[in-house]
Parts: sequence; C-alpha cells; structure tokens
Amino acid sequence: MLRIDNLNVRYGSFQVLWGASLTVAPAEIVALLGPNGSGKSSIMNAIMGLVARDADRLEFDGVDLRKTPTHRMLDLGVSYVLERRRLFPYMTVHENLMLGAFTEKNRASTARQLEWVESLFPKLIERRSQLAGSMSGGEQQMTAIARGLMRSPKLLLIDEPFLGLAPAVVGQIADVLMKIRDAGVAIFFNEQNVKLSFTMSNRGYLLESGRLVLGGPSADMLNHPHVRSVYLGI
Amino acid sequence: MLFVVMLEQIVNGLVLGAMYALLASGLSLIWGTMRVLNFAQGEMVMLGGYAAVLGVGLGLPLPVAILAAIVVLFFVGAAMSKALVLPLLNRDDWAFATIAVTLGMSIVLQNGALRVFGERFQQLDYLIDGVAAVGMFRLSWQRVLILCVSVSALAAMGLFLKYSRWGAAIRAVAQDRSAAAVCGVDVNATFLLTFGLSAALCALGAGLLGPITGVYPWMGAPLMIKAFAVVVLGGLGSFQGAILAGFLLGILESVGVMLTSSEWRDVISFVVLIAVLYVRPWGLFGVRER
Ligand SMILES: Nc1ncnc2c1ncn2[C@@H]1O[C@H](COP(=O)(O)OP(=O)(O)OP(=O)(O)O)[C@@H](O)[C@H]1O
Ligand SMILES: [Mg+2]
Repeated sequence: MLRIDNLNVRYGSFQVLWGASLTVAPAEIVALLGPNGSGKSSIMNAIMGLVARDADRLEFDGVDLRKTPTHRMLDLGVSYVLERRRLFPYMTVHENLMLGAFTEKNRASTARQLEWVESLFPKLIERRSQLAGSMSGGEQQMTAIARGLMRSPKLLLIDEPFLGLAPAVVGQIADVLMKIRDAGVAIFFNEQNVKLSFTMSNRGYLLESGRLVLGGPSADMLNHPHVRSVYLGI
Repeated sequence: MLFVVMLEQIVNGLVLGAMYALLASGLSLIWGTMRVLNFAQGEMVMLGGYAAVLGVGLGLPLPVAILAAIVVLFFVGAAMSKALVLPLLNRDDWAFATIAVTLGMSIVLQNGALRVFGERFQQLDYLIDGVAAVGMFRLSWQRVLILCVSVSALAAMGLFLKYSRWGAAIRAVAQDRSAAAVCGVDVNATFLLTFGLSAALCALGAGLLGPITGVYPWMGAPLMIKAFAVVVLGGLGSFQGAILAGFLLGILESVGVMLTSSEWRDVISFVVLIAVLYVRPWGLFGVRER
C-alpha cells in the first residue's frame, strides 16, 4: 500500500535521512523506533510532503506522492497525527473533529465516522464543546487521533502517540490503536518506547542517525541482540 | 446642549470607528492567517473608491457600482497576494520580504493612481441624502447608513468565520498551518481568500466613506496608519479585537477632539495605544502568546 524506496531528507545542505526504504501493508501496525533526533519525524513529514524530500519511489496505492501536495493526501486515504498532537487550540473538540473531515462531501459518512471515533474515545463526547487547548495531554492525543480518523483513511500516520502521557493513558491509547487496526485501518507510528511499540505492532523498523538499520516482524525485533542490548538493556 | 454635542461626537466617532474597523479587521485577519503585515491595505480602499467611481461613470447606479467594486477588489486582493506575496512565503527572509513588497505595492499603487486618475478629488454621491433629526439631535442619513452597513458587513464576516466551512479553514490555518494542511485544507487557497476578503471589506469602506471624504490617490494612507494602531490595540490577529478597538478609537478621537482641538486627534490615538501597550502588551482583546 505504502511503498518507499531510497528516501532522503535534507534541511538545507544538512542531510538527516539517508536512503530509507520501507513498506506498510493494509490493516497492519508498523512501528518505527529510534532515539531522539534519529529522523523519525522527518520520515513522516517527508511522506506527507511537509518537508522537501527525494526518493526513487514514494507511492501510496500506486499514486506518486512526490507529486501530491500535503492537502491532497487525505483524499488519497493517508492521514497524519503530528508530533505533540497539534490540535487547533482555540477551537472546540467538535470543531477540531469536523476539520478532520474538511474535504468529505458526504455528510452521512462524516456522521458515521464521528459516531465511530466517539465510540472509540467515549471521553470526547462530554468534551465536545471544550476548547481543545484547555484539555489534558491524554485527552488531546485522543482528539488528535480521532480527528485523524474522521475522513475514513486507509493509513494513519502517528508521530509519537504516547509522548508525555501517563502509563494508564498509554495503555488505553494502545488498545484503541489495535481496535482501529482491526477495523481495517493500517497504522504507521513512531516511538521511543521499544518494548510497548514492538509488543503492539505487527512489524517494526529501527532508525539510527538517519538510517534504517533493522526491520522485520515485531516479535523478531524484540528478540534481536542489538535491540536487546542497546534499547532493552538485557 | 453639551449633551447633544457630546452625543453627536460619539456618533461621529462610531462612523469613524466603522471605517477603522473595516480596514483593521482585514489587516488583522491577514496577520492572523499568514503572519504578514499588509502595508498596501489602505490602497485597497483607494482602489475600491476608484472602482466605484468608474462604475458610476459607466452608468451603474451607485449601490450597484459599490457592490461591483467590492467584487472587483476581492479578485484584485487575491490576485495581488498570489502574484506578490505567496511566492515569498517559502523564503527564509519572508517576514522582511513581505513587508518590503507590500510597502512597495502601496507606493506603486498610490503613484499609479496619481498617474492614471490625477490628483483631483473624485466625488461619489451620497447613497441617501437628508438629515435625521430627533429633537435637537441631528445626524445625516449617510452616516447612519455607514454605521448600519459596516456593522452588518462585519457581523456577516464574523458569522462566516465562525460557521462556514471556509471560515473554519481560515481559523485553522491561523492556529496551525501544518495541521490544517494535513486536514486537507489548501493553505495557499486560504491565503488568497483571506486577502480577497480583506480587500473586499476595504472596498465597502471606500464606497461608504467616499461620499464624505472624496476619492483620491492617497486616501488610504491616513486610514492605514490608524488601522495599524487599531490592530495592535485590539490584539494582533484578533478579528473581534480589531472591530472593538476600531470603534473604541473612533469614539475616543471624536470626543477627545471636542474637548481639545482637531490637531490633537492623532496624538490622542497614539497616547491611548502606548498606554494600553504599556499595561497589556498583547492588546485589549488579544490573547497572550505562549
Ligand atoms: N526544520 C529543521 N531544520 C533543520 N534541522 C532539522 C529540522 N527538523 C529536524 N531537524 C534535524 O533533523 C534531525 C532529525 O530530526 P527529527 O525531528 O526527524 O528527529 P526525531 O527522531 O523525530 O526526534 P524526536 O524524537 O526528538 O522527535 C535532528 O538532528 C534535527 O535537529
Ligand atoms: Mg520527532
């Protein structure tokens, strides 16, 4: 579904991503692990066209993403939850959700998605008319993921879904992400929490200093000697 | 008697304030969505004035000419931002470059108008003649009309921003450009729309004020300086703030002038501005930047 070959990202003359190749298939969760500054956000932003990039291949369902401006990505079926949620702080939760369906012409479909995301995150129902900026981190992350689902995407990209959240909320969100996958939406997310990420995902990649150094089924990733010694301290 | 004069001055202040609000709300909207200060905003008033004059010259009835001027200016504003402002936004020095370009645009338009139309004042007719009199209190219908029309237009704009799909897009881009793009909002189209709407509000102002001040090449300049003061006073980027501050400044100036003399008009505005900024650097109705 998502196919990337030899993706490079440079900020000016400073290259931060070197020849990344990866794929995401329908209805699977793929985790991208890497330490601070390794280039996780840069990969996501490059897929979405938020930063300049070059690649031998960058396509989704056969469409060349190199020719797709950011605001057309959702129409193709690719949705993105940016790092640190990035809600519209002076809008209500409901307004935020409705902006997630900005390009949807079919009102019935929007109503259906709204019902679905509110069933995934029942907490949002009572928060509908609260300003997004005034909510807790966990509630904001739920709103951000919900907004990302409003336009019925086939693939949801999430940049650090668990960043700065209390352990209880982390578990809750991880559960919902698996439910979303089971509903047929593929998820590609990045994280620094190796254990949790490789436990809840189908496949994973490891990024170090701008290079993908490992990739494979998550269970194998968890047992890989390099991952175990460097990231799990075993 | 003093009471009547006072009341008249307050109404005059509201009329003046309506003009400030029409200009400043657009200025604030552009700043809010694009972080660009449009120094050519006053010239949108001037072009709107000439568009209305030309429309009348072509034989259009005045209200139709003003409506046409509003539509024309919407496209002029959008086209100008597309040609001159958007190409700069991806540059590292966009903040300075956009100031230079809009300031340049302002100068070119003033001199262009001087070249094409000459320095002679062009007159627009009053939309309605006559004077409303309630007891000793007298007020020209044109001023009543300016107030009603501009307040309605600003309210309509506010409703558009709050409840329409593209209004939501403008607010979204203002709050987080990348997040808006990811939601499927065409950010560049939103910029053009914002510029177009701001220019349209200016054209409305010109159609209303033109009969009182005349239409001439540099008619936008003094309004523009005040509009900047109003935008800062109301809180940079706040649409409602610009409107409220516009009316407030209009009233303060008119009443202040009555108590002192007309040379003091600009002094009053800027003393108020400086005093407010001293106490509330983020403006009267703005929100503190985090
Ligand atoms: N806009 C930018 N301009 C210049 N350099 C940048 C920019 N954004 C990121 N970088 C650099 O690119 C490298 C990768 O950054 P990126 O944000 O992709 O890493 P990350 O893995 O997401 O980090 P984190 O875990 O902190 O979110 C870092 O060295 C960073 O300093
Ligand atoms: Mg990051």
